[in-house]
Amino acid sequence: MSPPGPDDDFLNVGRNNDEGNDDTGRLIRPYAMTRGRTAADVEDISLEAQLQTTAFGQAQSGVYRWEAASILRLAQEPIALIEVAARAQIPIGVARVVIADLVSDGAIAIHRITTPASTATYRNLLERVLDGVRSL
Amino acid sequence: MAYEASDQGQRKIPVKIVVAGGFGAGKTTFVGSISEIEPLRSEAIMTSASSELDSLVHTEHKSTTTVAMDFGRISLGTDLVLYLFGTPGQERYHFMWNELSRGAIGAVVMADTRRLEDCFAAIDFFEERGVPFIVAVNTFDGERSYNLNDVRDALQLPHTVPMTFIDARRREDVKEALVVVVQHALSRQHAEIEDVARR
Repeated sequence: MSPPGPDDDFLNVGRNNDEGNDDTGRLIRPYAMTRGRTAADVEDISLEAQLQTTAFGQAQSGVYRWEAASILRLAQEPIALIEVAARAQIPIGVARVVIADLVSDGAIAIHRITTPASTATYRNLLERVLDGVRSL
Repeated sequence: MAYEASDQGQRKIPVKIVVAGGFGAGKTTFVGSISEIEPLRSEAIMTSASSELDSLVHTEHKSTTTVAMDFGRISLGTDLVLYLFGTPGQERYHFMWNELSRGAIGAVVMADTRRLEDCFAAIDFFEERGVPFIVAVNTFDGERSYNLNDVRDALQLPHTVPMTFIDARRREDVKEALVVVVQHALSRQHAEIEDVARR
């Protein structure tokens, strides 16, 4: 499978159509993908949350299709949820649902950043951001 | 959930700043001036009652809105990555701002002096939620037909809210606006610590 280029998102759809098999249950309309899932499962994936395809996900990439396959390709390096959605050209809500499925399959890992527990830690983070922005 | 990524390296802490403002106020230009990637557009299909999104049957009866949101990315050193989210300024996008401002360092409200009222809703929102924000008056062709105090009066902004003129096309201006918003967030932190100490 060739790496995704910036302009071939549309092509991926046709290409994936000829790969893998049909029994993954993912060849369906976007909102049919929610499979009765409650919103709470997916809403806590923040827009900037960093995703990355796991070794298992790499190994299994052939069995995923459509959005799931695109997401696995895009997340070979850490990438934010919103960037995945934009590059795969799928709405954020749909991306969340597909990603939640991939996470429960073990194919995607979310780097969960816990909100700094203490004010001092948060202030330290802000100071690092300030230094970072200043040296841009 | 405790799945580990296949690659332990390159873990970056994501942080975000919201850029709000009316149509044409320069949000996308702002993001594009400093982002290390071409600004990307993402769409969110929002339902008016998304917390009830628990069955396929229900989704058919909800009113949905599609919101386009532009965002950019800036790596800060090796361990931080800053996302800038440009979001429409009208009140009907409040549901979007809730999500965007959750965990945000702060916000830049872009003001266009020709349509100041376009940023009222964003200012109200960030004030109510206690999100640190600054107001950046976009000067477009370098024209500064107002002074900042007049704009502050017109917006009824307290003096604690930093204001700045910027030309959103100029990277240095945008960088300075980001510095100001992070500094403002920091000073708010200091103020909160003093508050706690006084109690």
